[in-house]
Amino acid sequence: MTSSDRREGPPVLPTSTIDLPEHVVHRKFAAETVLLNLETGQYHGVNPTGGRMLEVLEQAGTVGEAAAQLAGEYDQPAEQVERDLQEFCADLAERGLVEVDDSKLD
Amino acid sequence: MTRSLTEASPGTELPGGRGASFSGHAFGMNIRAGFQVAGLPSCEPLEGGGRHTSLQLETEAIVEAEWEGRSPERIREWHDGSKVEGGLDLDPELGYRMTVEGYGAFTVSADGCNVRCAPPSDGSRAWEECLIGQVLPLAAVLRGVEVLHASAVSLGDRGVAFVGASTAGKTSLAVNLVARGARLVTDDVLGLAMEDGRLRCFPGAGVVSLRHAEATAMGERWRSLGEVSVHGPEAVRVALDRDDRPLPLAALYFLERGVSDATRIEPIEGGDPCLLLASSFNFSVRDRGRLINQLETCAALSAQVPQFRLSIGADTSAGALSEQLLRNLDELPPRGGQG
Repeated sequence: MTSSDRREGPPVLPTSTIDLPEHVVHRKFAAETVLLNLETGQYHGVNPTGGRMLEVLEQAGTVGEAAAQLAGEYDQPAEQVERDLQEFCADLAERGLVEVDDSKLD
Repeated sequence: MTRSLTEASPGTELPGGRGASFSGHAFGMNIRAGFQVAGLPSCEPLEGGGRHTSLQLETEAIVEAEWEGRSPERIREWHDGSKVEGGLDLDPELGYRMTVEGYGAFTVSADGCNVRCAPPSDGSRAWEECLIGQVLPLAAVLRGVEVLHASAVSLGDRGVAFVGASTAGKTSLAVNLVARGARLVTDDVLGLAMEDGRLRCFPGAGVVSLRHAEATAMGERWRSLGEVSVHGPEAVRVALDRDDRPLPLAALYFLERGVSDATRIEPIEGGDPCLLLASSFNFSVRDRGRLINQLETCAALSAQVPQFRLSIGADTSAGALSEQLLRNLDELPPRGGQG
């Protein structure tokens, strides 16, 4: 991926919601999850943990809620999981694979 | 305005003779044609009959007239040095047009349901090789079948497939396995599709191009495998008894040469998405539906089919390789749920 394909997105907050745009699809392989950006034709791979993060993010309401669920699944401190998840989402957003929405603040 | 080649041109020789027709299947599609399709055996249609395509003969002049004035997108081009030998064009309404010097012209409707073949005017039958080797695989992709650059045989009720570049040894390996009791499923292009949540491989052409060097190495054994149809300068084309059944895959081998002195078969734990995606036979159709189907098929391969890297040693004959592969297959644990 070239530097021109990465974009700086909005900050990812615990209150952010994450959406996969219509032009991004993903499928689970045996050892990783592959995301395909149909607009660019580029494939991206994430490890099984990243694949699980993606699954939970799609179901959960906010990043914070997803982090809470993942912290329970992996038996890890919630604050650390939240930081990891924010970083993961920011990376995906930079690659144009997810959209970050902060408009649904309480 | 289309004039069928079967209606006019009283002197035209049709494959199989006037009045011949073909009904069978290849690459996951039921196929009907008003002429015998060399390299494809007539057989019962696939159950369900959801994917089908029909073949017609046409003249190059008619195809040229239909595309005149259009502005298709050139998807691919083939060259011999600086000379353009052929190309694949896409028109949003007319579909695909493939032209290859010496092989004629072909059109495939955008949905893959109709294929028209315009043989070259010199009477050469090379167009039939292009039809089964390039055009029908394109139609299959448009009909929702994923195609790998692979040969495959059946052993019992399971298929075994070998992916590799041209000259990797796919055909030689397949023929040597057939000589040892396997049945040919396909050579060079393997169709895959999901049926009821399980991945199935589909038979392709029932003919192989066996290089003369391999035929010599096999001695006279290759002659008993099937009917020799063409003796070319580089290879002989042999029609084998094709296994007509859609089958689950027992294993997928990625062939490579020049990597090691001795032959090695190593499992690819968890599969490799890059290898799978790069194994496609078709990189020309890139619409949303196709790319998603390709991704889903490769994900299914990753989950359902054991995969191996088969590094072929410099001095390993195809015969010895087939023996080694059969031993490897014997050692595979049975996988529940397949079949």
